[in-house]
Amino acid sequence: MEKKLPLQCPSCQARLKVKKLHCSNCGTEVDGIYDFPPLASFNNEEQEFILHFVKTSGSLKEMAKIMDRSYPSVRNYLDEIIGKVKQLEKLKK
Amino acid sequence: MNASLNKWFFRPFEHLSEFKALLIGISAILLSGGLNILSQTHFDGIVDVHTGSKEISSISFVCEGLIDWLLFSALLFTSSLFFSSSAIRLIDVISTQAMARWPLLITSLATLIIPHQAADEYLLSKVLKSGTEINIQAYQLILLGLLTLIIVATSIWMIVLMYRAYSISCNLKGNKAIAIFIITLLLAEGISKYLISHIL
Repeated sequence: MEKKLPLQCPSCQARLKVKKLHCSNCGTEVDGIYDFPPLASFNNEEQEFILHFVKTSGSLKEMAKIMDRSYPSVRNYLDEIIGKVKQLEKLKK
Repeated sequence: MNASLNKWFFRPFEHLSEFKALLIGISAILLSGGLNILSQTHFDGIVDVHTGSKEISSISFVCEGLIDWLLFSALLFTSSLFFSSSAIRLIDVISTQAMARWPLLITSLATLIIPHQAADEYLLSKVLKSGTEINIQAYQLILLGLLTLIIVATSIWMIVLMYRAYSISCNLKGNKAIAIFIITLLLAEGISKYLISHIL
């Protein structure tokens, strides 16, 4: 089963931060308080969309072909992600 | 309902490219216009279906469908420029609205196949109290009832498709989208009625 990265505190719903990092190669552990990168706030499907969008140089037509969706439904999905990015920026401020 | 059937009957605009939707839509509009010449059926309003002859040329039957489609698309596109925050393309509005009209092809087929003229005349004589005696069989009234049911069902189906096409192509959802759609539909209905009765 694929583990899902938790972004919100299950107790108070506040945004979680990274406290510990671990190297699976040598076992080194880094302790500190770090913010999640903005991309981590998106679910897998959204992250995949963003990666494809970059790879197709931002062509919605190409994206429509890859996703087997119509142009306006891909544009609407992109608008949803843009809305989410704006919300994240607001939260950060 | 099967997910695939639901996709093709109620949500085709999420997957079809604008050119395919336009091709299917225009074919359906032209074909139903052609069938309407044979059955003397008029689409003399965005969501209007009337049977019975009217003194107009054959090409006018096809033009009625084209006026309905283009007028409603133009009004939806104009309203979305004010209410939608997305970058709307005219081709998306036009192509999805064309395809949304395909249930009218079923209406045209039904009015051609199901005999209804005698029952039409009978009901008309009753409503107008013309005094002319028209005798019809019970089955003829049943067939007219069946035809009416098909016309109502396909009209509702078309309106649902028109709304979904608008929602996707203009990226508007919820109560605001429904309100704009209804107002635009009523406005387009009035203008199309006027245009069709004065131009054709």
